[in-house]
Amino acid sequence: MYLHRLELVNFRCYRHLEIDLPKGPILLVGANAQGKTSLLEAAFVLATTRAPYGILDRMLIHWGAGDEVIPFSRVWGKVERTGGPSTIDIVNVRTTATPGDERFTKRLRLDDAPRRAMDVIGTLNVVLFTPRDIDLIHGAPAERRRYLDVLLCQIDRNYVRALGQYNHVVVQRNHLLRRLRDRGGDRTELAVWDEPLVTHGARILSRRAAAARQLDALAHQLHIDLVGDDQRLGIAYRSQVVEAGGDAATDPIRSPDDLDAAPGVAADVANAEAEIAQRFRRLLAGRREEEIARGVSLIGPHRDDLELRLDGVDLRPFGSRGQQRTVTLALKLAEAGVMWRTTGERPVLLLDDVLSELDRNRRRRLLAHVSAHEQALITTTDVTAVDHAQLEHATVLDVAAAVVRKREV
Amino acid sequence: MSSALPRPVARLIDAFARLPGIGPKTASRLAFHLLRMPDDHALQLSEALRALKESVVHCQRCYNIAETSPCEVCADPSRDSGTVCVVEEPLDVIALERTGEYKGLYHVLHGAISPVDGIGPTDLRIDELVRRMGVEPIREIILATNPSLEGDATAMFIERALRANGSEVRLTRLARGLPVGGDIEYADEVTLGRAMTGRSEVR
Repeated sequence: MYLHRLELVNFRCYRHLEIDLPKGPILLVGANAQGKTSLLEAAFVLATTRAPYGILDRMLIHWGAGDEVIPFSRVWGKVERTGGPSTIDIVNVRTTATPGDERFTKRLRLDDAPRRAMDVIGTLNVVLFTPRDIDLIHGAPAERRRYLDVLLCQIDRNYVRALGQYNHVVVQRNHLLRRLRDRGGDRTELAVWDEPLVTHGARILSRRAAAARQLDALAHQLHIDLVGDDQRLGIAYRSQVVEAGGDAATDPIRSPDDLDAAPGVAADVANAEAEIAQRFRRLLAGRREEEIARGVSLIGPHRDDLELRLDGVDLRPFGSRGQQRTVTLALKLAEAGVMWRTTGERPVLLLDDVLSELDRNRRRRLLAHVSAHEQALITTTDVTAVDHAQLEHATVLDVAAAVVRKREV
Repeated sequence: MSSALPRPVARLIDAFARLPGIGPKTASRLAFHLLRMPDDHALQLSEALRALKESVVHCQRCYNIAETSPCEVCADPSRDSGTVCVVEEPLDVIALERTGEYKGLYHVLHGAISPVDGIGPTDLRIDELVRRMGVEPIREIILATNPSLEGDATAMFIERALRANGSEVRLTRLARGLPVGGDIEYADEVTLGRAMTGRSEVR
């Protein structure tokens, strides 16, 4: 798939932009703070209906738009897929402007018809890489869970729903646990929250575990391709519930060939889900007292982590900055690979300022890999960082002061 | 409120602002509207408010709001006292009555379990329902709480409470599925999935 056309109104630094985008690698070239990253963010918003990295809705709206009667921002895109084109329209309107209580309403349309976020997500698939993704390696487990969530939400609608419901249940259940801790009372009420916790939790866990196994199988080779030497990059989903089994659900897939033999994420998880639910229930029963004593839900996908190892060494505490960068890149490219295998479409790659931090060889290897994708948007301050030979197939867009111009080569 | 306002006006504004969905602006607009209203209209409103608090009671059988206890539904001999439909709010009773399909009695919980809002089973009329089971000839209980996480949790709690009491009453849950007059192609997958699971024989 690829993003064929993008229109922005009052989005980040853009007052107004209309631009047609071709297939293939697109280099967005310009000095800092000219609007390159905003274009990648716009594509991310079209794919997920949300801004990346918890950027607030307020910040998506151009600062100058605050003077207008009804400040709003709009991102509109036309996506080309195997099945034909689709348009996505995301308008973010400020509805209340009481100081300290600004509220925003998002209006979503797919092919001109109003839709829920759930129905829009997945129309465009993207993989976004920015320098702050380094947090993926040494940051808190929540960063790595979000990485899995962003991947899975784009390819599995049931996952979007299960995640929303699960988070809601955890909030309710934690309130109840705190009340039981502080004031005691009837514990039978817990049971009615255990059930949805287990049902939605098992759905999330089965899919995360399956995705992690596919990532593990793909990222190894991608990492070798990128750095040029044979270090084993290992990815494993660490979860008390999933690991309590030790069955096929946790067996690693060791090569992409095994992966081809295995069914896709969706089919793979169906059986695992019921079994995970059983284990989840058992573990909950065993830790009831502890949960009440601490007043918080201690088991489930909201407590899990993604383990990353290079030749057996845990990267989370020990990785060097260079390793972190190449491993993050390998993870992102693997994310794209999982999407491709699941949906049959290559996602659009959004690579922000990735070239400057790689040496010449790695840059060349990365661009060679990227050119296999139907479309990739790559920002850089310096086009000379790119080999001439590789530049030939690319489109170069100059970005200066929120104006985008195609460079004639 | 500003001291420039006469105290009765400020009091009324404060009272309005405590209502759900009403902010300070709407509250003052309503108060000033009442101030300009003919006396008898404004007094009608105050009379209606007084009557609301003085003459509306909870039916001691089904806990619906009513003018008398037992309420009209509970006192109606033509209704099937063997069936009780459990709902969250009095408004749900009105919705079900509008269908004209239901001839049994009701039981109004006045909410759903929601720890976030500090609402537990003891804040609802669940014990009262269990007690009704002991004294009334109930054959079937229809759990008609909302199809939300909170509604489902409440239904599950009631089911467990009744079973723990040794009751073997028939328990049913409202069917979930397609809206009448809707299109299958526009139904979301969860609704459609539920409709498929809960399909029924063609009669």
